Amino acid sequence: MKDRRYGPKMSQIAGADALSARKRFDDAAEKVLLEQCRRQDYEAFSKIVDAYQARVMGFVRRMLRSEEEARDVTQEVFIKAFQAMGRFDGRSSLRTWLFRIAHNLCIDRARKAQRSLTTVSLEPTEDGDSAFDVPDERWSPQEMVLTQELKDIVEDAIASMSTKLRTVLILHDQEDMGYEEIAAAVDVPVGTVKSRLFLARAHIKKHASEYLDQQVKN
Amino acid sequence: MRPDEMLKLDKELESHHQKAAKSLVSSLDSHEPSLEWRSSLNARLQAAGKVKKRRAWLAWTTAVAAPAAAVAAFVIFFGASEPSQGVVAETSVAADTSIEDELYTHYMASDSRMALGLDMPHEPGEFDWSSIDGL
Repeated sequence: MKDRRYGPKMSQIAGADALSARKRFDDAAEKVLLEQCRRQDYEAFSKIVDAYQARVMGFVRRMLRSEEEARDVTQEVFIKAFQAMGRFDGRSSLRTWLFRIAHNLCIDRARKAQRSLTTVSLEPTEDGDSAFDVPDERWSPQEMVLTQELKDIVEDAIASMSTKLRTVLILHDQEDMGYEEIAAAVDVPVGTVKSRLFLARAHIKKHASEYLDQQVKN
Repeated sequence: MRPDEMLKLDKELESHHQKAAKSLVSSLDSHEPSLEWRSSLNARLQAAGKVKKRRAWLAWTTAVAAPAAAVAAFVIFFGASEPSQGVVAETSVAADTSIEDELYTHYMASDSRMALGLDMPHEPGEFDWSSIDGL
């Protein structure tokens, strides 16, 4: 988490901007690409990898604890997608499908490693987490100076929450996926997505507030 | 989840604190993969593609070759055995007409000669020495 370098970054290499750009295909372009991919067109699939590799790696990296494992699982996501492209029926978007594969692989890895990923209990309480509703002048996105230290605090907070909460938080707040899209990717009802998102953000708020309190004391 | 609970949750998600947490998460660094990682992925993808093509070829060959081999085996087995059966049948039929008929004719002729008293019946156990002389 402290060191997120994976060797030379693509963006640091001349002419590689196009490769690392987070492209979004429109529906028509995506359909054409998918059709080519179904015929095992390697070049067409490379375009899909270019568009989604950073997103998928960002998600997987936050879902798993080891960088090495994250790199391996991200590759596995694309290999599985390439092999299963013929069976992709297009009912969901390509992005939803890719994140669904990524989510399943991360869960599999976690199970295999027999990790105890649930480190904090964030079940809804009777008082509805009212502690988070207390007005806090420092708790303002406009006012907050996002230092590297605060980023690390947030990363640690994400790492310490349960897989279920983390998945929804990253997909919604990092990947800008909608509630329905997340529900399709994770295979849970929309209401569950919303409640998990609420709890995950409350967890972030709690950790960040502790950090901000310490800053004030110092 | 009841509709009123859902509405309440929607409102909570739009609250100041929740939006602030969202902005923190969305401002986190992205994880750009390296060129080494991409090269490794390309190699794995090409290997996966080759395996898939090999499997498809194997499946296609099996699908075509297996029925072809079955047909060939059928033709060889049944096609080869039918003519030989024909020859045996013809031979046996020919044998039936020649040897049996000849023996029957010979028997009937000798029986008729004995009945007419032209030949004497051989006594059982009496050896015909003339047959040796004739040799």
